[in-house]
Amino acid sequence: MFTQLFGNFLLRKGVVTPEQLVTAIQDSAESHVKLGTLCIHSGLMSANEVEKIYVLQTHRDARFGEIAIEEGYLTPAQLEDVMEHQGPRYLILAQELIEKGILTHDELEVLLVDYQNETELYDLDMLDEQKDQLKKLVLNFCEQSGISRDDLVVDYLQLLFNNLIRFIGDDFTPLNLIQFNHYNPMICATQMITGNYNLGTAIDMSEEVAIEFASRYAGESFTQFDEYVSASLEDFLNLHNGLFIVNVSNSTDMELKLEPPVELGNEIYAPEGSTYLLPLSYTFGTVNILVTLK
Amino acid sequence: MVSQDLKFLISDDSILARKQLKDVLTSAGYSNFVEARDGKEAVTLYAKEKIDVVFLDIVMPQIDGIEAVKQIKAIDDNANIVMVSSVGTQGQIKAAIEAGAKDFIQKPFVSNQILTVLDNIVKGN
Repeated sequence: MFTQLFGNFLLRKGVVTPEQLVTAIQDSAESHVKLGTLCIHSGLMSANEVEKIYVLQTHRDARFGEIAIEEGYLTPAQLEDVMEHQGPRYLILAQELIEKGILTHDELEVLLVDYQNETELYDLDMLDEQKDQLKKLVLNFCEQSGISRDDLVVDYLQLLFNNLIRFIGDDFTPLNLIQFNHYNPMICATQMITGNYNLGTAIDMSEEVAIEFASRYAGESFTQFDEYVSASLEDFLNLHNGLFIVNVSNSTDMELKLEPPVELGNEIYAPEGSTYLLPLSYTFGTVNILVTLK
Repeated sequence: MVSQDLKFLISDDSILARKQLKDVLTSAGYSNFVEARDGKEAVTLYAKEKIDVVFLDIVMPQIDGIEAVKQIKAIDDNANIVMVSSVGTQGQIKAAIEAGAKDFIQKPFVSNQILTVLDNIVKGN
């Protein structure tokens, strides 16, 4: 569940460009993690040992696991164990980047250690229920973008990631937050949260992406862009913002209000305040989230 | 009240939300619906049509759901109104019930929640 931020970690480290990351995420939808990558992740084999087996495989017709046992890198029990546990999902992305020649096994080995140290999580997929850990990841993400840890927007983004996973799917990676003044929308729904805390919110994507987004959100198979597809953007935003307001009301004395969601059309989006664009790279395309701090 | 003949007013500014609610009711055998896109239209339709059960969103243009409850209750004090909203704060639930709504369903809903609430209304609970 927390693997979405691995792609963002790679961006911050400068080891991938946003374009390379988006392509790798989209291409990784159908991929599986190779045994060598799993062995590096679990610490059973070094990157050099994995590379050596890949070279050996070019000379002989044998499976990775067989050679690893013959070479004494793995015991049969370790092989069985690593094959049973497919590892966290971010390894699929890592694998895709290796196959595209963007990362080497050596670089991945170092990056995995750095990532795990930064997040203090060793097996991200085992900790689905631990919201504190997700908050830590989101805090880290906001701090990189200069947003105060005390701002409610941290809670907003934490819940947003939860709701995206819950209602759309976990196959996304947030790219870096971008601050801007004017935004040229595609298919865009906006909604204001008002009261003692004011937040402008919007969701934007292309028609093609909206069709898949709506299909996942509504549990239907939309094949063309229509009013139901368009409404699903407003619905998701309204649902997420509503749940945010409920959470704020339960944890503080603050009663916030929601304005009705509005479809933006072709107008330029330029709300007052500091607006951040958060592109989320899904395997089916990019979903843009916009938040405006007043 | 003969349940299968019930006439529903579904009021939500989202066409998708109205369709999802209608799908639940249709699958339970109901077929008599009128739809409103905002609170004002809901009040107008209630005054014109003979409605048995109203499903109202809260966050809507023109008149919000809470105000719509008050205006519908002013027309018919026996109106059966159920709120269906993502804004289920204690404050909003209290305001809706005080205005005269019979129940509150937090979005996202599952079909059983809708049908259970409806069953209670039909039985006069």
